[in-house]
Amino acid sequence: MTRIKRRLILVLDLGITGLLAWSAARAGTLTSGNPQDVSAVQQRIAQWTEGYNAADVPKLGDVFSPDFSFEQQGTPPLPKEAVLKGYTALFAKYDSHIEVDTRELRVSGDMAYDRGSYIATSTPKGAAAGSKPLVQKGRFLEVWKRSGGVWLTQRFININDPAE
Amino acid sequence: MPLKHAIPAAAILLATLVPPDAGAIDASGPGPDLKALQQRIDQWLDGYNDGDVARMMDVFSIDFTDEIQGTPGELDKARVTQAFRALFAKYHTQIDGVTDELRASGDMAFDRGHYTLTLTPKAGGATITQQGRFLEVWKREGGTWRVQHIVDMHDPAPAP
Repeated sequence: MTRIKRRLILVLDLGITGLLAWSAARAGTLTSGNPQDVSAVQQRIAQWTEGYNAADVPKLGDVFSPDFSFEQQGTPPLPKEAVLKGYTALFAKYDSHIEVDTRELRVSGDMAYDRGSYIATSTPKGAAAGSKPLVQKGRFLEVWKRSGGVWLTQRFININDPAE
Repeated sequence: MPLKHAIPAAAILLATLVPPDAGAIDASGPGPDLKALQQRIDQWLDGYNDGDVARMMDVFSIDFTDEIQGTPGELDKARVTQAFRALFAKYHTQIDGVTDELRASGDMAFDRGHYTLTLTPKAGGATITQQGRFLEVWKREGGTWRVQHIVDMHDPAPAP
């Protein structure tokens, strides 16, 4: 594999890692809106987190709307299908861990948003086991919509801080 | 990053509040709310084109935050106000922006899009061109729509 190709794969992996920013809202999260709606969004966040920790792509993908898009610097917006492929590739190569600070979660009508920061650690496995873990810090803002009574993430924008 | 370096980036970011093109924008929500949001966007633009910082900043909420790729942390309303004053003092500016999506529900809304910004130094020198994308969320308080948070990503600078 060429050095450039390895670099491109790493960028994709770390970009998808940015999606790990979904995490159950912690104590101290600034919230507003109907408490039942806030709780429902938090449950969907928990579904995503559980799916991630179990490397269960369908489970975490169920949180995304059909028109979901993921944006970050240096790449065009990614649709849901591309993002799920990214997860599949990520879980095949890494054992991952994330710490998230969800600073704010607000709901109004059939719309919600949350934002925060994260630290993701991806530890190579398989043939690359023993290699140095990749640590990525970043920030995010995502928008949710309620469709048919179910909360779905519709838009996600990720800021990667410089890789360590 | 020192503030003096962050200022142009912040100003570039906020220039992304552009009027939606009714023929291309993907929109949903009550018509009166979408119209009201567009009027607020127009207010921001008019303020920008007139160099009227107070008029522009009226569009932002008290707890407004501005997060930018490459800038650690977030800028609050006071720092962004300073950034605009510094920008208008140094540059003639022009923005070509596209609002790709505008949606409203209840007292919340979001829009996202992309832009090309041109900064021409008043004192002479090379023109700066910056492209990027943004996502911002709005809240309605007291009947008035205000931008609460924005995240901006500059596209990588083109090779010289």
